[in-house]
Amino acid sequence: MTSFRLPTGGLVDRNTTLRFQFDAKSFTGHAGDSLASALLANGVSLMGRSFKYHRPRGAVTGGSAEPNALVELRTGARREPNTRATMVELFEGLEAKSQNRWPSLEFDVGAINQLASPLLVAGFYYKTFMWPKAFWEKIYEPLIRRAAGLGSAVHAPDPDSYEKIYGHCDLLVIGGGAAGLMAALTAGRAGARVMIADEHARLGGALLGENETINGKPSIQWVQEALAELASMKEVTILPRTTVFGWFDGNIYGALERVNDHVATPPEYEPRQRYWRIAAKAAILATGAEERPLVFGNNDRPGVMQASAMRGLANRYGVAAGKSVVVFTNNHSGYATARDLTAAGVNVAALIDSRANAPKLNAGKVPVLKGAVVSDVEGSRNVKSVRVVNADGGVEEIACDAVAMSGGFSPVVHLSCHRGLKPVWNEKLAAFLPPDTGKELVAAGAAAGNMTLAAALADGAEKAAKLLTALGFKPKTAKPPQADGEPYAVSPLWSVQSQHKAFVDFQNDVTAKDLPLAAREGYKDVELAKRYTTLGMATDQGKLSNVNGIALLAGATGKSIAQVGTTTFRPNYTPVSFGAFAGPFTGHHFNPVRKTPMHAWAEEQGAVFVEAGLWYRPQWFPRAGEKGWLESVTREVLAARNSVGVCDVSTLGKIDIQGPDAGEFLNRVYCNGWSTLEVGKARYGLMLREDGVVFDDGTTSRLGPDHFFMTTTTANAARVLTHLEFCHQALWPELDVQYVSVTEQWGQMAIAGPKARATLQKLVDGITLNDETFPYMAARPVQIMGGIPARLFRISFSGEHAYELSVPADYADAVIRAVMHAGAEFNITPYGTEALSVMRIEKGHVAGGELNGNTTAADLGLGRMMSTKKDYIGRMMATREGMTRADREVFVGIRPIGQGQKLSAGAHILNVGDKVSLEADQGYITAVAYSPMLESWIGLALVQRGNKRHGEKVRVFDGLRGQHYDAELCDPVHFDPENRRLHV
Amino acid sequence: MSDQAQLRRIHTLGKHYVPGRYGKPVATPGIRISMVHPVSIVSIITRAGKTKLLDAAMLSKFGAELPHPGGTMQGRAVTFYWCGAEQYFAVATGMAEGALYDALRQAAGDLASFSDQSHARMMLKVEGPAARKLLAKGTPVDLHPNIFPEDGSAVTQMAHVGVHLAADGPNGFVLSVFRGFGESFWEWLTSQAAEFGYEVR
Repeated sequence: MTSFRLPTGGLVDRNTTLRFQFDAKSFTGHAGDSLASALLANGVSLMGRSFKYHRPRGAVTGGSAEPNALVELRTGARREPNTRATMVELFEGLEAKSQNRWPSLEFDVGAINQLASPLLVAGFYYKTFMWPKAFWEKIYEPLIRRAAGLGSAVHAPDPDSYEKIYGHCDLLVIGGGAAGLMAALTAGRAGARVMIADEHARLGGALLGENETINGKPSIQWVQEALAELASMKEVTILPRTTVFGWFDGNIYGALERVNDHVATPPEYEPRQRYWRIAAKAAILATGAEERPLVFGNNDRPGVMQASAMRGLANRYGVAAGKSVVVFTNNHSGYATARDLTAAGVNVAALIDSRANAPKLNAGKVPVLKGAVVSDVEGSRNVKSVRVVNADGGVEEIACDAVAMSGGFSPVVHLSCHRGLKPVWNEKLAAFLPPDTGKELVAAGAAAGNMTLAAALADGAEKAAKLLTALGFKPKTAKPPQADGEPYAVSPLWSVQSQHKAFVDFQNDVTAKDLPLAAREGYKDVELAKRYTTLGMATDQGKLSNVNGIALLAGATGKSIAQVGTTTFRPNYTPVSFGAFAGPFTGHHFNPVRKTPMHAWAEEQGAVFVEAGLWYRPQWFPRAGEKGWLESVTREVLAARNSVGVCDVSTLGKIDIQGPDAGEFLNRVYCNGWSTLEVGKARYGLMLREDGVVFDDGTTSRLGPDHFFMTTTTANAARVLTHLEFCHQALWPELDVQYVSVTEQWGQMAIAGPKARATLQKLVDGITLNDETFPYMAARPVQIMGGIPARLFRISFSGEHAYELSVPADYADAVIRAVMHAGAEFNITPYGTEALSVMRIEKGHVAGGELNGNTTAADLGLGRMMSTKKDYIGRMMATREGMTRADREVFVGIRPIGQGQKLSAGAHILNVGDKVSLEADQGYITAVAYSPMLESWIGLALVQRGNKRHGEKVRVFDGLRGQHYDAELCDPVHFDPENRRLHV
Repeated sequence: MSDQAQLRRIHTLGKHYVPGRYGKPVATPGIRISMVHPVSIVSIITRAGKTKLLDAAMLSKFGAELPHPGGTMQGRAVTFYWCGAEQYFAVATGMAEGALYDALRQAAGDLASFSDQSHARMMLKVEGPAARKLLAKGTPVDLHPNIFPEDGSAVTQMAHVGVHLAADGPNGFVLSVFRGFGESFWEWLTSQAAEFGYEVR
């Protein structure tokens, strides 16, 4: 293998040799190499196959716009498709594989697509694979997907970690080239907080690849001095390997820092990537300009590169792109390449300048052909020669193994367009310039169309100074550094008549013929042409191709380039991994987990937990020998009904409500009255939405004349507090009322059953619990266990003689253990949400299934709670015709008729004899349970006029499980309808 | 059980809180974390039109007015943190159960609504040279000393959990979250602190 490493030069560390593999072959390179430069140094120019035609491709750029040299990097779970070889920093042991080829890169069966290329023109899949229709999903699509691959993703979990971080600065400088460094220096010297981000490992931008001087010194030396000065400034943050990928509302920027992409595996404790959200007072867009390819025959052959990339290869990496190079240009860039390559000892066979009246520029000893063009490249997997059409029409063939091309420069305007503005066409520069984005983001340097080094340096300093002055800083205005350089002049050349395929978009295999075709077929709008031809799609988003494509579309439609305009620029500027977006919030960290203060105790009891929102609640407590949850739940219910059970109800929302108007506030938010509630008493409250539908329920207790303690359902805790905030702030700001969540202050447990009082009596200090001292619905502060302040509520969800005991959360663990100890003689049994649910269904208490966002208070049999003596949220709307219609689905109980027949929640109810249809639907079952007390399945339902149909036989239709059975509607209070047990 | 033992408070992390050195082995840990426990926290919400009277009452009883928005005021044995419009946390250590709540109600029972939150929040002190960098991984609040000074107080979010965050010395912060999120938040905080090396005190 021939070495293309130049004997001297470049910024690579020639003393450090790194071994790496490409397609299982071993190579070496140097520290400071990119994967692309290292491969080229080893004479490997074929790096991949194209998307559609499977044409051989090599690196065409030296940076992030690379459309061709996409490889799969690393192996195993760390394998990453579509990494740009031009951006991959070489590290010891690097393994990469080419993509989109089979069986090998050298011999690719898919290349046969080229022969079928007349069928594969723009829009081919809309035309070719239309018929027969049934073939699309099973045959055509899998076939196309296999053939047109851009690498494959890994199914294994990502072994690395990703981080998220917030950044703040006065000035964010996007891009670390000449303009960016000057902007950062100006801001840093003025004492501003500065962040400067650059997508490459080293800051310096184009200066790293150029052979220029600043203030008489090599430009690289100026870069190093600038970086050293920036590094010494306390308020300056330098972010190499960081791509600012999006500009968002509020002058927020998204940035991806590739912290450890340049090593085989991240060091312990370090993330692979860090996702930045940067809030900047102002930002400088110093992203430079991207060199445009020229469109000529076989311009996609490995060995054809951007002129700037080719001299960067020599200047930065010390690598020759070939033994003999032809340069094709329409501006000064080609001349710089000719000079730099010659200086590096590479033969430059000719410089072809398409401009007949090109200014006289220094090409060294390289012969210059003015007014000539390269029409075609010859060679299949590499470059063998170019066909040149001279100014006089004569054709000559020039042997070479590499071609440098320059079609002019496109400022990298993307970020400035992320919030909806369109770039502005500039005829003189033949380029789109950033729109006027105001003072939040200002372009400087080549990104703003200042194409020479001297202009970029001056512009970076000037624009930064202006922004900083507006922010109240006093930047010093120093004379900008001096730099030489040719003035930028370009004569557009959008395509060259050729014999072979001439590519506009390398990544999507869009040729010069595809755009006129799109226009002919009616896709004349730039957005339509993009979709039809795929121009500008995929990972590079048309960074190289869009301007040439737009110009060709303009030509085909008879419009100007300005009239055609660009497609929409959207974040992200370059691809961002899903891992970075997810950050550390993966696996069980996807959502935060919320645990009650009795969680550890419940765990010790062997609880099975269920997620209730973010909370983990004990669902049931299995015991050895029990065969399944039903047996455990039945035991828990029987224990609570026959003796005593205890249940953690800490997750209920708890809101402390105080103030002189607290009572009035409750009167307005609840549909039932609160004026008559005595201090020391609890009351069930029902809250409606403004539209009259039931919102939430719970008990609220009066702890003092101006002090209430509200409870909400677990599910609606946050929503109710938000509702209270809204009502107070927007509807009745005149009320003097204060409220705050105290959900987490209290560990709360329900102690239910005939032995509940006897159990509690052992714990409370100084009172004898009986119906006089602590009657039903009493709610009072008590002291327990010799000094713990607590609150005791004689309320019941289970229908038993029950209490809820509230203790400051830090004591809850000790208290639940003390309760268990006190109830031991009664065989006190912990019960979970399932037993809780069984008991509430037995008692016909409404819960989530019935509070479903459709039901009114009347629907739920709670219509009498709606006060007629006061106004409250939902009163007016609850009386609307539709809300009070006689045939509404209302709350009713249901029991199966057949012995041992189960009920299923969600099943629909039909009149006996009706066929299954939407029209015949009478309602549905909202909740079911096996009732240990009734030894039967029971349910709750919402059925048309259900409250008037107790005793009626109905048909249950469960389409999901394919079951039909008979059932009987009944009183929803299945058990103890007289509520005797509350008072035992 | 003696009465004393029964009254001992158990913080939300329980056995998950183990003092020691963790994360990257470094000579000086970038982060030091300590649990502020047992702690007294009372939320204060000013009643309508009582702002000035409440300030006066707090000044006379605790030696400090309530802080301005985004601020903290150090009183005698109690610190007041701003935590919303006309809302504050009063925080103290070394006080008996309910004592801070009682003292505040005594001082200004009709000027503000007080709610005892002493058990509702897990409060941590996070300090050390990397404290700002660590917290920047969670909060969008700018913690630069010029922006968030030593008397700064903010209500924010970290790792999807609501956090009250206040400065505590030049390189220190106190933060508190609802206790139910304590374990989840602890896992996040310590995993993010690992790269700096951290000490649990």
